[in-house]
Amino acid sequence: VTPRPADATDDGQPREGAKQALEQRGRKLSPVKLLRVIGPGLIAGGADNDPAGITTYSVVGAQNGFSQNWLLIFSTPLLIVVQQMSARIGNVTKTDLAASIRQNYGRNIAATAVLLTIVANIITIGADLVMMAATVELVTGVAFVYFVIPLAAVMGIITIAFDYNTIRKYLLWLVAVFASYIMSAVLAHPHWPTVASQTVIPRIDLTSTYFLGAVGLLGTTITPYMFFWQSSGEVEEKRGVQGIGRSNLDISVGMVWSNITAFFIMVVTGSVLFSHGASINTAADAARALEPLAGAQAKYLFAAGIVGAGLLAIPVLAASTAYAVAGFFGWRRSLGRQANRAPQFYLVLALALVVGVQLAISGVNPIKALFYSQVLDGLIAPVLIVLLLRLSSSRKVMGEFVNSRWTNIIAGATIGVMLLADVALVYTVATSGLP
Amino acid sequence: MAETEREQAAHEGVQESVRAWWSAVLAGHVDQTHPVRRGVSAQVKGEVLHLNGSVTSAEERQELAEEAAQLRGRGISEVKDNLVVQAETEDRAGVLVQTIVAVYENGEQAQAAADALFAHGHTPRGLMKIVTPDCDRVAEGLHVVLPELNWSDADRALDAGRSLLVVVVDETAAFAVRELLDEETHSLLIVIAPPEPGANLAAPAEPADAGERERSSS
Repeated sequence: VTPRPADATDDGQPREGAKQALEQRGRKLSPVKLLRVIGPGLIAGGADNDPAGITTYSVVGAQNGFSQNWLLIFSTPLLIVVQQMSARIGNVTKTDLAASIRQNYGRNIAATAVLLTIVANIITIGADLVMMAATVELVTGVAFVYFVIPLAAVMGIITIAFDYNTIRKYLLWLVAVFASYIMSAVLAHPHWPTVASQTVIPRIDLTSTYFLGAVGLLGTTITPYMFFWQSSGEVEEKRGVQGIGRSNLDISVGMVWSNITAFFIMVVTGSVLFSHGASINTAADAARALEPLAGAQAKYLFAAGIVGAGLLAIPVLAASTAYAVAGFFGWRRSLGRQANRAPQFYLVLALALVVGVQLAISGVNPIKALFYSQVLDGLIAPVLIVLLLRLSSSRKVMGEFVNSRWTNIIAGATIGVMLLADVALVYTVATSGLP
Repeated sequence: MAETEREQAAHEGVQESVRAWWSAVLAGHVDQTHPVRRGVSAQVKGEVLHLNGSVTSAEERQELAEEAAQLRGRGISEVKDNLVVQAETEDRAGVLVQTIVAVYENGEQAQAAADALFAHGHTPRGLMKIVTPDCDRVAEGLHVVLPELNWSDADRALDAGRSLLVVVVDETAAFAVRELLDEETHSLLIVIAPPEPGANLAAPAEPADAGERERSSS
């Protein structure tokens, strides 16, 4: 066995480290290859704006106008840093988040995190399905319940029957659907100087509506299923530490696109619904309310965005659930495997969809489902970010690829923001009761 | 058994499983992927053999085409190659290595895992060794191979009577090796040390020291 060398060479020079070796590799991404970089990060950014998320942004815009747009600029670095920590754990440990948590913090902590994530994901799938189907009902006039099973079946077939590369392409194309919100915003004719000034100049109203909208917006933006998806996506892509730069770029593009989409949703509802005092509860309500105020095209574009968002987010939610469970138990797991080569993984994925469908058609109030999924996400997110922070700043786990000081500061701020969101949720329930 | 004989046996085992897989494809069983090229499946429709899935290089695609060509005359008149060569990766082998420690109930299971690595073509870079609870940890160089922060994981497993398979692999191969050990062997725990420069952990060497493996697993 060759002895492990000391940190310094015989002539006193520091021995080459892993990062130095990577730098000496001298590989830079050429502009032509930049397009190849996009993958799980951009998909996660798209999936962040699921129909439930669109509902939250729509309601915030309708209630507060443009006054909370600045929060999207504030939350973008938080989102990027948390996703990059998740990715880097996958890049270094060569496994997904659930397996890393189990290995480093034991089965009890991992089981709790995975269980809460499963419940939150499934409720979110149910709420997303209802909102997608309600949107299709809005366009077709046929009762929404008839669309729930066909929509879930399409997503189930795509996720189970096709391999990762095909699913990846399908999801990446769907990310483009969110451009419909940019077009909706143009059709809504907002007063752009007002939009711009309220976006770059923070304004805080000391009202409960404003404060609760703000924490709801931040809680919707930073969600646990994205952490699991991101680390598993890095493993699927087999991006090692040599791919960290590509991964960071992919994530940055994805999260910026995610918040640009959210921005335009809030511009649409802020410029049309807020100014007319329209009250909405769901994203489908928002699409419906747009028609008399901004025209049928705005309604259809908004509706197309909701359906596209669901087609993107639900496979990610179901796959994240399966990755988390299979990672916890150490089962075979990959969207790149055929179903018979990873039966437990695909069974969990299918069950997540089936239970979500059951929730959607059982008459569960989508607003309640949205509330409870946000509560669970809000409770588990700070705990998971603490685990992410500890894992990604551990020398034992990450070696030289530990967090930078700025990453630790931003991650700490994110935990603070998420805890604030939890306090606000408790306050809401204490003062207004459960929905 | 000498190391070369063990490797030879593992290689023959792989060839046999590949032959069995092609026979299953000809018999109409399409539910398994290729035993070595795990992203590849095949299906016979009429007299046409369809190759589907993805490979990592043009060479790999050529090897599969040659395997498939040998089936001509066994009810196959044409091979339709639908394989996709994945985009060239930016990653370079030889820059970094990672040490992986897989924990097993006993030395036999650890040995079987080592054989599985060879069978799937994962020749370790630097070393591969099996460490049993009764071995001399100093002589085995366990604390030399593993970074200090990972010593406690290895010591705890050995103190609990478990055996270890320790393997140093190129960082670019670490995903596949970890996945194999994690999902296809009876590993109880996988510990993976952070990446470090290849120069820190021995130049490419023989896959395993047969003498040490025989001694430590006995």
